[in-house]
Amino acid sequence: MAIIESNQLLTFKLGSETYGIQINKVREILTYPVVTPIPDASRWVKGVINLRGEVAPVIDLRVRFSINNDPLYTPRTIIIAVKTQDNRMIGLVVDEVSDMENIDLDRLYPAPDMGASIAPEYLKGLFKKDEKMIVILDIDRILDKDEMQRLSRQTHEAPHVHATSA
Amino acid sequence: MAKILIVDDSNMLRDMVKYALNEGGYPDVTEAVDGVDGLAKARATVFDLIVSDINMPNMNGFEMIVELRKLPAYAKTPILTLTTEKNDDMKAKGKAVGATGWIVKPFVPEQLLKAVGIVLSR
Amino acid sequence: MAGFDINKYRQMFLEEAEEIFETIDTILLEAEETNSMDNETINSLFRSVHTLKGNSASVELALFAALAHEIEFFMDRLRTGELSFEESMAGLLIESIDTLKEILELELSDELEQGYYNSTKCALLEKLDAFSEESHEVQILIEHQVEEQKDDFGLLLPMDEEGAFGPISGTVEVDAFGLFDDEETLPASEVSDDGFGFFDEETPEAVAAEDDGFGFFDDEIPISSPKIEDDDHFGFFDDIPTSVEKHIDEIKIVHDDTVVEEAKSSKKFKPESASNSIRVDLSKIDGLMNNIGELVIAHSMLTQYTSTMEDQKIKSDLSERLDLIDRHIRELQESVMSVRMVPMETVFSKFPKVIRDTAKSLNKKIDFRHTGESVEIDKAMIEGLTDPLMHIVRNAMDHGIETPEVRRKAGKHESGTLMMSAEQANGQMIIKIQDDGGGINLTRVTAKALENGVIDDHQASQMTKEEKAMLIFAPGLSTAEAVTAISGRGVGMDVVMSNIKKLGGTVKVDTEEGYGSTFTIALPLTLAILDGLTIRIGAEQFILPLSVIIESLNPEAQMIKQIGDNTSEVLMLRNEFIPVVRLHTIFNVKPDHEKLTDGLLIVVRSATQKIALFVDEFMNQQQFVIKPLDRNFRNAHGIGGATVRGDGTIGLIIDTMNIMNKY
Repeated sequence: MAIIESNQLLTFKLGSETYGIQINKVREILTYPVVTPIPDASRWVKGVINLRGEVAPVIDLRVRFSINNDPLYTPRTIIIAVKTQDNRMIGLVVDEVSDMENIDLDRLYPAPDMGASIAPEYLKGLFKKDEKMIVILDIDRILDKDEMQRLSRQTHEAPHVHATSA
Repeated sequence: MAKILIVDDSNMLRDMVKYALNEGGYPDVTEAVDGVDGLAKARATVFDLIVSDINMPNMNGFEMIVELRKLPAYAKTPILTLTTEKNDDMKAKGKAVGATGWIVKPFVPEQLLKAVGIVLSR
Repeated sequence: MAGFDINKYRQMFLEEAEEIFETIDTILLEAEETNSMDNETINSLFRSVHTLKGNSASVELALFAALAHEIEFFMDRLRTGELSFEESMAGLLIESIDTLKEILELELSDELEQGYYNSTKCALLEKLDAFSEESHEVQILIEHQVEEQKDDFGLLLPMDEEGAFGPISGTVEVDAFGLFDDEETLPASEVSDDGFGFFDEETPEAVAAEDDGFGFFDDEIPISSPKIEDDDHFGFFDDIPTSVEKHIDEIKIVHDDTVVEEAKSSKKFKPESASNSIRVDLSKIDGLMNNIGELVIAHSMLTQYTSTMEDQKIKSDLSERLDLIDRHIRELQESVMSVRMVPMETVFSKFPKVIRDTAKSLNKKIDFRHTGESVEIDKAMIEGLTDPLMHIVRNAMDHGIETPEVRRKAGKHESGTLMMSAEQANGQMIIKIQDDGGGINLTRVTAKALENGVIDDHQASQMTKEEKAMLIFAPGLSTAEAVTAISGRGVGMDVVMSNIKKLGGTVKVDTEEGYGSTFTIALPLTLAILDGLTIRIGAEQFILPLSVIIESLNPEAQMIKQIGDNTSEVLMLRNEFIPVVRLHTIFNVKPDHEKLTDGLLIVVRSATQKIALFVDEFMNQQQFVIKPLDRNFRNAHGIGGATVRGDGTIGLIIDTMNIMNKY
């Protein structure tokens, strides 16, 4: 049995670009709740929220990929709750949720080296519909444990982020 | 310390394999109940060895091995299959999907450990 | 190598077999009703019977396995299309499965007579074969199949004299395999050839030489003997006594009261009314706990709302009912908790083998005793507990218990005693590990601690015996002068301390030079619920586990001393110097108070020392349902877990161990 790939996309905006996540990864879409910040976490980790009883980290994809390094958070800010392949629940902050799209996974264009704000290694590919271009995120790759740990360590070592006072 | 993943739909067999491994000095053993679970766990943690049943619901052992071998982290990881049969067909399939070896059920702890010791030291 | 606990696995097999039988019955009943069977159904049937066969063989149910094999063979022919489904087949298969169930019951209770088995099997085979005899063509195929099957389904059944699950022996019980074993009683070495193999052999049948790095291992393992000889490559896998009594000179296992009874009862297997127990995945229980957690939260929201009500009559009526709900929730919580509990025996059972091996390699004689195996512990805690216990035990054997000569000279019995006990007291789990060895040399430990700068001369002179003994838990202070292979390995007793702390527990050690040491571990009964104190720093709130708190105070100016270049502060409390940790610095939040005298200091326990946490204020104390916190997004400083608070938001639980590691 192969892992069946969903061909329905939830599309959303990060800055001016339209991105998509396969709908089978998405658990819930919610507006910005009370987020408990985690001390010492990277800047793109906004903190943790209560997602149906689970403690789920919230990641701002805009900050993560340097699309907008200083976003505003209002009660209307959107979080897409996704479940990763290894069953971790994670909230993703995005600019706005656009639409659902049906796509044909066989007809994806490979991710370009340039053009998108996000490096091709984090993308499943491009989908073109009429004049629109949707960049499909490889969410399991972006939220991969090792990747997260590596990035957390990097951020931690960066002196300007970790304020020390004695 | 070697991290080992056991994939078997039988609670009993998982326990037996785990017991034998624990007794033989491999305390770090994770269990998965079928190929899908095994694959998910293998993606979440990198194991040094996988011991898998073949005949399982949802995704059988051979299908799982095919998927595992596609992952860079598991390109060379030893994978031992547990099998009731030891016929050529099984051997051919096992070899084709990229498994490392087989262990016949019912197994003796010594045999299992010997096989495990050998693949881990290679 | 120890044999398997055959009765335990038979019980597991029985539970699984009952589930499988249920699946099969459902399928067959449906097939009978609809008078059809599609490929998927046949495959599923085949798979089920195959599992029954393989697993029963693993628990030495030879006759059952052989019969299951016959039925599997029949299903295989259905599966390959060699036979096609007929109206009467479903009925016959149902009958076959019923026969299997009957044989299983008889064989398990040791009441299966060979004669009865043979006649039952023959009768069944006759009926199964009837389907094949309808066409000559099929018959030929079957004959061919029967030939092949000898290789295909070699059932290797262990049959050693003691009846324990031993190695595969060459003597496959001939009677058990009417059809396919007649000429197939292979010599022992040949059977073992295929015990396992590797797919990179050039041809599957080729007997590869040892030095190729893979191949067959028959010549190394004396397969027909229950013991395996030590050899250079596998020295550490050395043999375990098949029965402990044989090695009574080295280890005696004291199972409280039941050694004799166990030996008797193990002879005959009695299913423990299997229908009354089910296997449940731990995650399902966690799910239940989560639901209860939600309930607790909903309840506290309602209580909060009620307190704001104006109408006193309604308010008191509601409060009364809310109290009732509260009681029920607690009961529910306790019931679910009890499901997570497993007996300590699960932990204890890991030790005899390790102790025996270690004693052997150290040339020491050690008598291992344990009590309290029926005391229950949270299943989730077992994993974290085994390592520290193992470390303490190894340490006690290595550095505590003396060699037989030394013991004789000291007037002690030449075999040392290692005693492990578990009990529940005051809502805690107390585990003690006691040895009658030489005890901890406090002078040497203190000297080492001074040398490593863990303590200074002043502290050393002030320390009590107990405090000095606790120094063995300081980092980098592995007790012994000689770090050995047994307890050394670069990790010291500090790891024991931190592991126990992670479980929310404490360790202390009492030692008497010449008479031995006692390690006492106190653990919460569960990992799922924590008694905590909410503290506030500026706008943020955190939860501090009550178990680590010693005292709290509002310090006066003269109690605070600056050390070194004024970067470190200590609290002087009754002649003790306690380092101050400003939580707002650690957590990078803006506090209300910068001056220590304006806020509060909470003195908490750590591995080697106390520390004083500086906070703005502390709030209420309550129980929290602990939730795992994704560790991938943070650098793990000072936060150990999370919980859902009364208002539905997340609270973070402080891990004092981790804060101290930062210093």
